[in-house]
Amino acid sequence: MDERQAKYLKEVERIHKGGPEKYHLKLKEENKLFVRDRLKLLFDEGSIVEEGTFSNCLDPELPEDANIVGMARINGRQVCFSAADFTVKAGSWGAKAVQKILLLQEKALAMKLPIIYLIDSAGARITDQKLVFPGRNHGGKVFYNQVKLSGIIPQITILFGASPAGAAYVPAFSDLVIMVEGKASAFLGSPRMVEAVIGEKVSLEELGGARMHCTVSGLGDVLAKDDTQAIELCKKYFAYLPQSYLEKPARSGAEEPSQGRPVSEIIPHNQNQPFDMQELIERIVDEGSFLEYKALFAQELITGWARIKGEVTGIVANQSKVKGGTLFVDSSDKGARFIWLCNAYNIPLVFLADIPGYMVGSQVERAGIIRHGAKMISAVSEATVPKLTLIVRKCYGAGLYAMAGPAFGTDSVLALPSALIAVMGPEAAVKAVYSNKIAELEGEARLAYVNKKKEEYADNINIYDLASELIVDQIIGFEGIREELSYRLEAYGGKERVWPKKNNPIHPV
Amino acid sequence: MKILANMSGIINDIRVKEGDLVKAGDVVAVIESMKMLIDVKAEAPGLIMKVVCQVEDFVQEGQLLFE
Repeated sequence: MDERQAKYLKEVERIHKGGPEKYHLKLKEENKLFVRDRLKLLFDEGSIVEEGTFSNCLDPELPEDANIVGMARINGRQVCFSAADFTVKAGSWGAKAVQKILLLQEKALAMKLPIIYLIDSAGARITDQKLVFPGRNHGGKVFYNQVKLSGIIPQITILFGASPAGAAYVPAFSDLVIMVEGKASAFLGSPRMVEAVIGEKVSLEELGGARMHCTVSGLGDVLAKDDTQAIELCKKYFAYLPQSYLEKPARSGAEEPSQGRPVSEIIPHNQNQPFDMQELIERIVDEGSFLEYKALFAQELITGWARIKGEVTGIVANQSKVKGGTLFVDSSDKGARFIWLCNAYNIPLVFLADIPGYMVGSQVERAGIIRHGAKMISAVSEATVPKLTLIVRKCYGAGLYAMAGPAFGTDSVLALPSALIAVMGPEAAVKAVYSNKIAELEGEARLAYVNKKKEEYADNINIYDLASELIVDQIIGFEGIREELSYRLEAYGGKERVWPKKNNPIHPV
Repeated sequence: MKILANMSGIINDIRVKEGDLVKAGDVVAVIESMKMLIDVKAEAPGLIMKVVCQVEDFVQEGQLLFE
């Protein structure tokens, strides 16, 4: 072989090995994969094209400066990627690593390609701080670019390990964050730092572990059990997103929904009795196609993507099984973010409403339920994708607004025969309106009076009454829901999307 | 081990008494809130040592109900 070629190949081989053997062993011990094995699993065979392989090649300790970037294909679709190599200085960001990420982000913007960030990093390399932290083209620019790219191309982060301090913002600015349980973590201050500066003793898992973020903080969207599952999930979710805001997600062949008991049996007659909304969703969508977004977080609201006759659709549904399906601060956040995500990437929305309203009381008022609730209503208002609402059961108060009621540019508001729409439920309304009269009466007479008024009230908010006034567009039967929705999604697919141009809305966050 | 209120509201029903054994997932109380009936479930198996709520009490989310 030509000696120059031989030298080149030797150099490539050395770099591709990553860091010292002991760190490879450490990965194995922890049941984690080497970065190049992750790339092999994630991308189509032979599709990986790298850039900057020789960054820092003159320093034997810093192959690739601990971060591989390039382009590759996932099921035939071109994407950009940036992947930390934990075996080199614990995947920390050095000057060249940051430079490579910035170049990659510029390419992604120019080519309108999604970015996958594979993170397993100790954060900024403190020894390099002057070259990675403060300047125009340093770490901050990575986040600046992420914000600039937000809504233009999908950005997905898989957290295989730590994402500390500054690096913790990469998931925050991503559209979808997959975290490996027991391995991934994100935090601004490490347990050691937290103890030093505020005196709190806390474990890494409690402070910023994957499960905490997927159930409590809401930073994580999907919890995976190991590296391999995280990569599989990434591919599954990616199939539901388009290449950029200029495209729609690819359609697939239609599948029948799963078999089960009829919808009229799923939905209880008693409005106060919870039921499992997941069961209703399964009757509507193609079998096995429903992928939840933030499944473990604020579970009173279900958000996720499914296919309805092959078409990717965003579903926002109240889960009465959890907290009665009432909207709280976190569930409003979850709903708002999901709606923005769908609207950005041309994914039509279906709302399944069964909501007693926004939560009331001193606890939630102090937590800002008004402004957080308003945030979800903002997102609903701004969504110009085809937007359908199905009133499943009760829909009280501002719950009607959050679930895309008739006033919110909703293309069709449909109602099941079990639907009810009102400012408040019969009980609360009667107590509010007739409180003086009720106070005058006693015993049997009071009960009889309250029941009579409740019946009158129920008649007044009867769904046929609302349909007769054209407040809802259509009442549909329990058994034709899927067809009614799919027909309308198809019909509204070509609608003109109009929203006033402006610098930016002022969101009630 | 403590069982806390999962939502603010009025205690509508208490399904266990002191000395009862419960399994994970057992409904130990029902809270009425937002006109919905919300089940309070035991997260883990155990023995009810103390009941610190009564029917018709108002409880805040996170408030102690059983020990």
